[in-house]
Amino acid sequence: MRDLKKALPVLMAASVMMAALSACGGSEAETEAEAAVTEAAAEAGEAEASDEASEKAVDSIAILLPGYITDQSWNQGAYEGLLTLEEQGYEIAYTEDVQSADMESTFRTYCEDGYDFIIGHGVQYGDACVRVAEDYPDRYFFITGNPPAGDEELPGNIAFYDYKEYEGAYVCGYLAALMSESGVIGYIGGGDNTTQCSDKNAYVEGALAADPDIDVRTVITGTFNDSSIGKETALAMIEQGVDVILQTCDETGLGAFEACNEQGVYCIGYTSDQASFVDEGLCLTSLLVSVPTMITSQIDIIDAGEFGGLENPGLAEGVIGIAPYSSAVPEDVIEQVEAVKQSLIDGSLVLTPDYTN
Amino acid sequence: MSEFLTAAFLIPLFTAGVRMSVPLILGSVGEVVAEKTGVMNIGLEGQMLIAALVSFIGAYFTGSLALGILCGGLSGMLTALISAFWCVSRKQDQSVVGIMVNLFAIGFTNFLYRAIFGVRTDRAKVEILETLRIPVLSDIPVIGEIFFEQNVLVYIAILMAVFTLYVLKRTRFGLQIEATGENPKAARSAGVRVKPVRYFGYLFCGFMAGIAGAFLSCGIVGAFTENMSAGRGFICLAVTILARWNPVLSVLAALLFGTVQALQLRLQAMGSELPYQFFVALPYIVTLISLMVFGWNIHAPKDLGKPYNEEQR
Repeated sequence: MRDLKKALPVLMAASVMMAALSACGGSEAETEAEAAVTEAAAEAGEAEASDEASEKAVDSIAILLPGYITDQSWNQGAYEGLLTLEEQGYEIAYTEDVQSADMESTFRTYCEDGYDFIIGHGVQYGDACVRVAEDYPDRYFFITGNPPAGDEELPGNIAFYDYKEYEGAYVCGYLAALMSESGVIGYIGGGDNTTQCSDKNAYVEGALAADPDIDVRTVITGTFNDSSIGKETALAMIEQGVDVILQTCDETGLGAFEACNEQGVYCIGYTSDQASFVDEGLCLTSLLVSVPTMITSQIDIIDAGEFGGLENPGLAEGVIGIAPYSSAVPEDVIEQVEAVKQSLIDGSLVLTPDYTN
Repeated sequence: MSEFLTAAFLIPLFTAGVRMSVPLILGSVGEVVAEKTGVMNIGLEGQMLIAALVSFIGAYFTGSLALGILCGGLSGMLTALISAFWCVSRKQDQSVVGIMVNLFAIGFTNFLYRAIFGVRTDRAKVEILETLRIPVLSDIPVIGEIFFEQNVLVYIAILMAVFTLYVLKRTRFGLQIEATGENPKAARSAGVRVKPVRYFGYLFCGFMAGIAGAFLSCGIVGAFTENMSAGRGFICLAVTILARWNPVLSVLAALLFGTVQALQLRLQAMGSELPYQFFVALPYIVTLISLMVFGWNIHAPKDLGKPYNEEQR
């Protein structure tokens, strides 16, 4: 009996460990990745490992995700990109739901485990990544967002990808304003990072360009994975007369879609084409962010030896896109919206991102 | 200011407030009973999350929301049974076990959801609970619209609160629960079997947390999204204190939180110069202030959180 009591804390610790492990994932790919971690770690211990890697600059890739790979949005896109790379023979690993406190330690763990290319999926990972990258000059780091503010010189082994998501948001705002009958449209965001803020401001700007009298209601929910808050936010907006909603907040946004479906209100999707989530026609279009390409394209850049610095792709480069319009959008509206999109692509209209929230 | 004081603004505000407070009512009524028996069920959040998924799976595969919600309640109960075993039978620290359950729930639900539905681009959905109008009562102006045009779990939550208060205050079993939480040794010498009562506390709380989770997935969203309980279980713990371990007061405390939450979303949408963080924090600020205002002379169950050891004097 006494022995059993002593064993209890150990058992409990073991179960917590199991929970933590399963929090890292659970799909088959993940189990393989876990195995890969141990292998890679073992290899890294030996000196020969670096010789093997020399023929290709990168053979193992790890990614830190802010959310979960089933969000049908930002995180799932990254996961799909990762799977493509796995098919090409790279070793992959990912950690989900990495919040501020764990960012730096997760980066370091992957470095210690011998991963060559480590990605922080979101602008919020910038600061932690810069701190880690200085200590591991032989690894490649990639942040899917713009560099942290400040005058400090950034390490050369980090690349930033400040894609112009706001260009897409501008087009969506333009479309929403044209489609609104009530003259009130809505935007639901998840947080206040620079991507989200510039999306919001560009959406408002685009809407005002289409209709100077438009009234844009904006709410920042402060969360990317609380779908019921998302639904309540959309319902509150609909009460106030909003009849087109753009959401850029992953799982929170799925709740907003549910409200739009229930109330028969137009909505605009985010990251992937989300038209199938609501009744036919309701989802006017989606603000596409080609997350998989974002990640896969970096490998070619590394192989070409041109890695590092800041890239600024947008609608013109195809990283940002507008999904096919729903049947509810009339021909003449499509023409006008396409014209705006075209002027952004050919550069006759240039937007200045506004990062204030 | 006048635009806030119209029926068109206030009625939907309170209707949404009621909707948003339901998981908190259910959870805190359960927590009141658990804490009255002397156990602190920190694992409420985890039980809610597991139930949100299990009820969704139940409803998805049987096609019956009622069965799904029942599955949710039972899964919450089963999860609570784990806590009860460790804390009551094995006398482990209740907070540590609770935190373990919460961590476990996040990983476990993600794993189970992917094992069943996979990582896919379409979406698994169920129809959500329909609005059930109560005849006569729903015709009362204002009140009728706010309270009696909701889904069935809203009524269950409020009825359970009243029923629980009755059991706690007016029945022999209620007295036994109270005695167990106040002074288990005295209760034992008066013939109350402490451990079964505490097991009951955990299981009842788990069941209620389970229904709360089912309300999120089957009552509001119609789908499961990862970590969808989003801290509501922890708010329930605060609501329990604010309500002074009284199930009916916990309805009011939960309504306060839910309504302020509904209000902040509306205020934000109306446009304001204030930063959005102020609005997001508003429900928590109001809860904290009300704890300061109503928090004097609070009397928690005396033996709350302490493991009961029969052999010890």
